[in-house]
Amino acid sequence: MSQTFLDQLWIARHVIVNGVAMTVSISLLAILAGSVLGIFVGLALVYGNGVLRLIVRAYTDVIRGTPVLVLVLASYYVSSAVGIELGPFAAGVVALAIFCSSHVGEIVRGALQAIPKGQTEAAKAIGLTFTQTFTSVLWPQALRQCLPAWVNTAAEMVKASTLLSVIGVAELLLRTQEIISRNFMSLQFYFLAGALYFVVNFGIERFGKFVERKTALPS
Amino acid sequence: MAIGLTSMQIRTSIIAPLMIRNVLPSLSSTIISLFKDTSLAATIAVPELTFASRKINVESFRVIETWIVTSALYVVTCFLIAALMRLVERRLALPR
Repeated sequence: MSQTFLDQLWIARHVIVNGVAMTVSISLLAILAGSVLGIFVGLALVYGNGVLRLIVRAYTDVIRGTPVLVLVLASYYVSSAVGIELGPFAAGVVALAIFCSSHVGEIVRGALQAIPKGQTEAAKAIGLTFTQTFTSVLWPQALRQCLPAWVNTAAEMVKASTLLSVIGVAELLLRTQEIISRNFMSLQFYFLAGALYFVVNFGIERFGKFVERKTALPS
Repeated sequence: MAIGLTSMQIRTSIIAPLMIRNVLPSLSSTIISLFKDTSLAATIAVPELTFASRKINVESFRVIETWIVTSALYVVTCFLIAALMRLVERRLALPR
């Protein structure tokens, strides 16, 4: 068996690529589901009536006050305890999506509340209905406002996907640990994993910057 | 400088108090997320709350109760930290 890092890397190449693919797909699924859910959470926080707002506020506060690892473990064990066969991958994605939704909800709420009241009043003055006001006046502004924070959350989700290794989802971190347990090159392979996570997050950040530039108002 | 403070005095009695008031809100959110990140120590077998709940979960199979209590403990502690930091913020706020 050859002992240099590059030889070991060549042996492990498929495993690492699979791990990266798994990490990316977990993150994508969680971000997409979490964002869709989060938009509803944010809307409920701003426009919901008393009871709904109270429930959603409790939901976001509890989720945001719980560590992601506890959410992941709870989702995995509780789902099987109540008789839903999810499997580690689905349970992990559900936990991350729930976590993502509470953060996106707060971001959307902040963005909607940051829009000056004059905008709503002006829309009312020119005779737009509530739906029209929302879709063509408030929402475009809120989207621009929440883009940077949303990109931040997306990067956060990629990092949180490492926690799925605890319940046995074979993503990048668990793959790396498997490789290390075979060849004991812990420094090199953890460093490689760190670099790969950095590359993924750097890509997300650049993409966010790109979208921000594209959607910026001409000034 | 105009009233004759040395640069060290300027730092300790002018800049530092102003700075602490400014950083307190983001400091408290950092402290809270740091507290939540302590759960990660469970993955390398540090016997803290998450590790203990996992153990209880596996030993007793009272799955739902275990995780509800665990998250309640984390949430309540986060609220306490937040309340404490708000108290500090109010104490340090300038009288108006």
